[in-house]
Amino acid sequence: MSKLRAFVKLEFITVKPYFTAKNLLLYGVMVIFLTVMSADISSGLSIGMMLATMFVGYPFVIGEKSNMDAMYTTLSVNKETVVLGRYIFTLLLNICTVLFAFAVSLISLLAAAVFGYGFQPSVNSGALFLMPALFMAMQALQLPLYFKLGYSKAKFLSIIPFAALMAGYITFTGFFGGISGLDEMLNNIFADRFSYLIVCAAFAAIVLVSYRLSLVFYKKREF
Amino acid sequence: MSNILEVRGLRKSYGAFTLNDVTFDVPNGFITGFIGPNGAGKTTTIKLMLNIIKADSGSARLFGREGGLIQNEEIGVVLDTPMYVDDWTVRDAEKAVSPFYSNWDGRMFADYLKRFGLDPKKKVKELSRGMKVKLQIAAALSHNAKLLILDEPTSGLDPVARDEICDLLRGFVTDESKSVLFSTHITADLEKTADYITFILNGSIAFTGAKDDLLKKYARVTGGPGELDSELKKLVIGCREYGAGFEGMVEAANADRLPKGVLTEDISLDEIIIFMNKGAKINE
Repeated sequence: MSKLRAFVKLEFITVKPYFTAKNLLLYGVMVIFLTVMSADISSGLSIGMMLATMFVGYPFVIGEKSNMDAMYTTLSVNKETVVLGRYIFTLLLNICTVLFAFAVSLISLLAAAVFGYGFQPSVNSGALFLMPALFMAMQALQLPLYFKLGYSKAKFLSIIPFAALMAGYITFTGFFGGISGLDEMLNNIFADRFSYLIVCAAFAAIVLVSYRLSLVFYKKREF
Repeated sequence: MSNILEVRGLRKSYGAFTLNDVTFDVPNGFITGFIGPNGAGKTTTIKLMLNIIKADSGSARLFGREGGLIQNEEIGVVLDTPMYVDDWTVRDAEKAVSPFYSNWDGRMFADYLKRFGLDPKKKVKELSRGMKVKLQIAAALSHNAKLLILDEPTSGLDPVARDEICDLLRGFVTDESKSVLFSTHITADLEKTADYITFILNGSIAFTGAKDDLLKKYARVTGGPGELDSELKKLVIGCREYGAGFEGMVEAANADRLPKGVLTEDISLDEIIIFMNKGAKINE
């Protein structure tokens, strides 16, 4: 097994103790609750992505507590592999979360409709696409901070992108006439297929810059 | 005699502390003890060799191979701070590290767990410090490593556990292609196991060579009150004066220059560290 594959596996083993049935059940209930309350899949997806973002920090938290950065060296894992492996782990975690949250949200909405709650489930494909991309971009801003400062020192700074996102969301919805106004705007934007391409390109650029920064920062760190 | 590891001119500065030109060898088929008081630079040297921290200059050659500092599957490492995640089970620890070694031997690992009385289902956080060290040793020995690097593995362990680990290390080097670098400040463990000693003091190597040569190089010296004149004081390293007389260490080569009433006797590794450390402080 290549070092990179072994490292990604190690990342999942590292956070595995936190993927307990109790936790997954709790997260599932949160996703269902938000989806059914808002009758919108993207709400369930957003709570799923928030949880994924929390998990992205776990390897740093656990690594700091358990001296794992030193362990990687004893396992002959170089720093490039650690950084790339962690980005791949983050991506896989996000993919799993999107699939899990989407499935749970969809099923809960269908179940709610079948049991006659009398609302019209809404699916905004633009929001569905933008939501994970936004959260992953936020994570891409957090990762270099974790690599540079370690989790404990970067914890506060890493909240800033999310605070900015929330502030932006509140301002935006206020300016465009609430959530329905934002929905309409997103529908208009994503009516043009080219918008998806622009979002993908912007996301790729953010991740690439984030990766390069993380690599530079992590190479300078000593444990 | 060939060397499995050759460390040359390692330097690292940390504010007031400097690791200065650390040079030593670890010969094939033997246990080399790496000794020195706390803060002398043992862990820093090991971390530099393993590339956990970056050296300002210097190199470490493993198996005679040129280039950089050590990063190799053929070494097994046990660090002073346990490396495994507290919430892992012993089995998780194996799952986590085994993919990194092409020579991982699951059966051997299971045998060591049995030998050490480690339950695969037990969580790392439920293990005592001694058991955590044994888990690290089991992992370090299960991928056919040629060189074991152990940083203070026996500190905080009871004498029975320490003896068990020393036994294991002696067994490991019965294969002449295998070696151990064993850092510790508990020199009693090395009196029994080590063939070679590298002694580091204040970031510099004070001695490196055969253990017996080190023990023969110095002698413990004691004398009564009034026997310690200024000439003798120059010869005694780490001299400690008290009401009933004095004690210290001299180089065995200087023994014939000592006054007749002064008593010389064999010295232990522990005493060498103590007197050298005291001597260095006096000279500061």
